[in-house]
Amino acid sequence: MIEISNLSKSYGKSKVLENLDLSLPSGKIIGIVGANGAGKSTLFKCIHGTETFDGSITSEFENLRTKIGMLETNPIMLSLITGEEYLILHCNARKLPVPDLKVVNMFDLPLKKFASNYSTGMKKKLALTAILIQNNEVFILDEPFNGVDLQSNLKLKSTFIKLREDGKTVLISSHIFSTLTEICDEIHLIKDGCIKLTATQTNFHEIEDVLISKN
Amino acid sequence: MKFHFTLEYKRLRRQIEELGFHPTPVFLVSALLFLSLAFYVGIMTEKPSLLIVLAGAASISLAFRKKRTSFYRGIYSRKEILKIQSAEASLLAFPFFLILLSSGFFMHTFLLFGVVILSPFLFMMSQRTSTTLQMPPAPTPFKKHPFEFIQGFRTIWPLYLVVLFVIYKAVQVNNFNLGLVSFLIALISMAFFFTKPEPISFVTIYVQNAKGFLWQKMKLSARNMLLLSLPFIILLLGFFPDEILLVTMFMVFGLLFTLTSLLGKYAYFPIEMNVIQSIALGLCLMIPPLVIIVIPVFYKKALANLKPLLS
Repeated sequence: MIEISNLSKSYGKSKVLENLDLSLPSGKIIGIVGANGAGKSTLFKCIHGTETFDGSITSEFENLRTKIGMLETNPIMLSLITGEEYLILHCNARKLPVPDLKVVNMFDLPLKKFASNYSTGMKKKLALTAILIQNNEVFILDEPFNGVDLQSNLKLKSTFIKLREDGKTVLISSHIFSTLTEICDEIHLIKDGCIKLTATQTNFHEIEDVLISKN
Repeated sequence: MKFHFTLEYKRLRRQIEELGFHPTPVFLVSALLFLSLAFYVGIMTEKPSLLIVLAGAASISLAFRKKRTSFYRGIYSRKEILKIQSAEASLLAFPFFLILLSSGFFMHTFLLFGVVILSPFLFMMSQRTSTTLQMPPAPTPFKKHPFEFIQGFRTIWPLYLVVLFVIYKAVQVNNFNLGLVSFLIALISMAFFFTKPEPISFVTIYVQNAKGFLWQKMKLSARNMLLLSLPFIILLLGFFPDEILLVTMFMVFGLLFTLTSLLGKYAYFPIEMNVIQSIALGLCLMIPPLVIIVIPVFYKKALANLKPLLS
């Protein structure tokens, strides 16, 4: 369980998040929605620890940062690193043994090729594979379905459901609301820097109504 | 850490191999070139130690490039990033340490050591401040004519402050050569504004033909370059008026070198700088009159290369 309280983040004079409170229970898939620039990615970076903030983020883990795997909207790949080396680097960073990469290569990526030459979708799949083999407890996924082909999208959905079954926390942001309603246990709407509405499977339509209305 | 640095070494070798060279001779030639350059700086100015420290500091900054740091953030903890960047800064500064120590500049060695130790912490602090304050884009005098000079100036404007400071010091100690070398560094830096190709749409949006496009780019670059160099020229000529010929010669070379870089970019556009461009620019730096030959060659090639995009 991750407990976020009074989280505030400003960039210059613009307040992106203001006194945001949110609980992220283990073993759940939690969706975060909001308009462009609402602060979804900023919230993710704060939880991941790559952005400073005011307020508190507490969890049952001693060092939360080492238990989180974050998939960014556009994963950064340095040039001249193969997919295989990228995965090994992630294992080494956490001092984990390197698994059989043929087995963990769930998207059949060409791991011997340079990752920077991959397409957007392939980069996303590689970055996801990397955080999956790290055996993280919390997965923060910023727009995981964007730029990924239909077949892989189905694979992604079943992977996230499997993670939930294993008791992991999965936090997803996406503009494809229908996909979120299929897999999420709860969805939170960010607006004006805080959580404006929370819905469970019975009332997801309320969030959709707010998203499509102008106000 | 071990795998990280092994991978970095592999990347370096691959970069060289991609250029079509074998890494070992390139390492040897680079070491020789570095030593020759250090010797050249040593005989050219009375106080080369300060320049070596500045060059060392500039090379350390390579460890803190934005994309690299963002990549590390996705993988490592803050503590590990600090360790890795400290180690990278030390490695980058190592050759400069050797030169300073072997020349007996112990105070300057200590100064560079301070830069190595402090830079990762200062960088981390600056990152926090910049995301918290989110500074507005630095104003430039080039806003009506995008984009290379705007982008380049906003990336390396601190270098120009350093150059101004060194020229001021050169005036103080009455060392014209020191000021001239700093001016040359500023001029060469402007050529690097043109090393990375822009997206194709940045070219196809123009309604001119290839010839008109290239001439407009060249005119603008010459004008912007002169504008950016003006403070250095005023300072140098204000205090060393007898050296007008040398300052003009350096300015003309800087201008031609920048045009070489510009034309080189469009000669192979939209492909990034290749081995031919790199060698041509490197040779022009070592043998300045070569720009007279390289410019027409690149111009012809750029014209032919841009014609399909701008016809």
